[in-house]
Amino acid sequence: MIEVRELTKRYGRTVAVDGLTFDVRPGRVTGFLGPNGAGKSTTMRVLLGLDRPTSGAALINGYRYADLRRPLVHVGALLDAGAVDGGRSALNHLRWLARTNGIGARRVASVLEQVGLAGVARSRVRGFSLGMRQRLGVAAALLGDPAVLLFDEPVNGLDPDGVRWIRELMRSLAAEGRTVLLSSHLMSEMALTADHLVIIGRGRLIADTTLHDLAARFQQGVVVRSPRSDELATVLDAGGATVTREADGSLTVTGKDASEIGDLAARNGLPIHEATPRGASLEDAYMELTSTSVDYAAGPGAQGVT
Amino acid sequence: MTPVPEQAHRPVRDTLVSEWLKTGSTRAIWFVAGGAVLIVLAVTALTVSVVAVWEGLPQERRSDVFLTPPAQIALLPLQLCVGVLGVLAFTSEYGTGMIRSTFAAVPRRGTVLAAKTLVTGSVALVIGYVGILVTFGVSWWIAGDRSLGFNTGPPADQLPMLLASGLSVVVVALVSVGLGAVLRSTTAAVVLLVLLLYVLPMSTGYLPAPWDDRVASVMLANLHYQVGMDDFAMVYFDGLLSPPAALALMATYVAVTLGAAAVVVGRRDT
Repeated sequence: MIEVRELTKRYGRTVAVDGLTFDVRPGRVTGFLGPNGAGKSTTMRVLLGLDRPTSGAALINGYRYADLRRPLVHVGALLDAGAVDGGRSALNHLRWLARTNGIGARRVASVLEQVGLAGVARSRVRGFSLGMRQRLGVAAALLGDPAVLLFDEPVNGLDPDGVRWIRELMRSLAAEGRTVLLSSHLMSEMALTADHLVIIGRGRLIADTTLHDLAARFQQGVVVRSPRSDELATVLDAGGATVTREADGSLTVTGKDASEIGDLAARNGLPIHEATPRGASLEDAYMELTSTSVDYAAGPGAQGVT
Repeated sequence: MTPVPEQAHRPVRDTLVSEWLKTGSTRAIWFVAGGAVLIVLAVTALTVSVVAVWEGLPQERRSDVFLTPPAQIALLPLQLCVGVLGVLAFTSEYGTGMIRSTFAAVPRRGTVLAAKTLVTGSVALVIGYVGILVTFGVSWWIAGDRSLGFNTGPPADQLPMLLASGLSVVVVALVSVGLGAVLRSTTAAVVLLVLLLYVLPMSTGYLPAPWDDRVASVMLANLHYQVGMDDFAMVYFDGLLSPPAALALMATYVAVTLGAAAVVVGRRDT
């Protein structure tokens, strides 16, 4: 469980995170989404005690990170897979890391096995591909078998195999009841991996929603065509839907989904030639949400809200 | 979730062992150890060549031969070697970004600083004393009963100076850890180190008397002469600092740089 409360982080005059509040619950993958520079990485660094918040708090299982006695046992994080000393072997990298938290050699061997690096454990990291480095980073995050996991842009630069591996790993970690926070600036990736979304822009919360609700919010009705559209419109109207007649003779129906419309039509013996749900894609929804935040932030009166 | 098999956790000790593992698994430590061996070999070769010169001279001119104590010739290169190691303790991690993994694993940054200081200091202690004592022993053995200027009097008289020289290697290593932690850049820290150990002490000669000796006497690179009560110190620094005062100043160099590191590393965002 991660709790971010009224978190603000300023670097000089730049506000990276601005009064951000959200929770990340266990048992599901929470996507942390926002354009580059939205404050995702800053929030993660504050969560890990690497940066000090200007105000507010970021708690992990109710504790500030700095107060965790063996942090790796509570929280695993992959911030930047490139942040390893290339001259060290994968095994030696994990060894020193494990040792800081009193984690034994057997666990090191088992995470290397788990991420598929056991065969190259004694090779220098310098020779690793980006995908292998990501795997090493994941191994480091899993060392303490933590209940909370943070991954910052883990699929960036990975080949399709690597992307799929990360995606399945995230889902299985969440299925084991862990709290998984996964940042990305790509909605398409989130649509495949995340159950819940926390969307931020310019350091502020834009949406804290399930993937399903986000899709529903941007649902724009069902386009229905029927040779007897007048009768169908009456039936749907009586059934509680809102019907708009379009110039081309089609109907735009809101308040009922395609299957409900089909059932209602069948019960009344009315033929339907087309029933197409029309909605913004998640990608469009995301673009609209984040562009709104940018416009709002740039507009008059955007400042001074406390 | 399966429980993680763990050893008993003692944060300070585990961090120390972890830093030891880190140091042992980089090539830097082997470069430094190899560098120390090369320094000893080079100074030994120099002693051998001076002996050859001595042998080639007629009897009456042999007393003109003078070689600076070889252990003192080896000292500055040894200091620079462990200095680079000390600097790298932090700068190598800031350079790669690995420092974030370190601080995420050990949120108490003071513990990390202490562990790195202790590990680097121990390595420097071994390299410093082994380098100095081996150079000393080999050079005296090679010189034999020829008088080369550095081997007058009983060898035991050299002990205070040898102990002070080895100590200065440790001091330089600790100061370097602090410089690396504060500056975060390997280049910047090494440049400052060379400035501190070599350029500044050389430049004091341009100061008007009596400030040349006064400033020179407090230079990090000159303190060991005064701790070890070397004749050189008596001549050049006029005995300005007593051995205890010079020792205290060594400790101050360490305290100031590591103190600055503790403050900065503890507060800084990474």
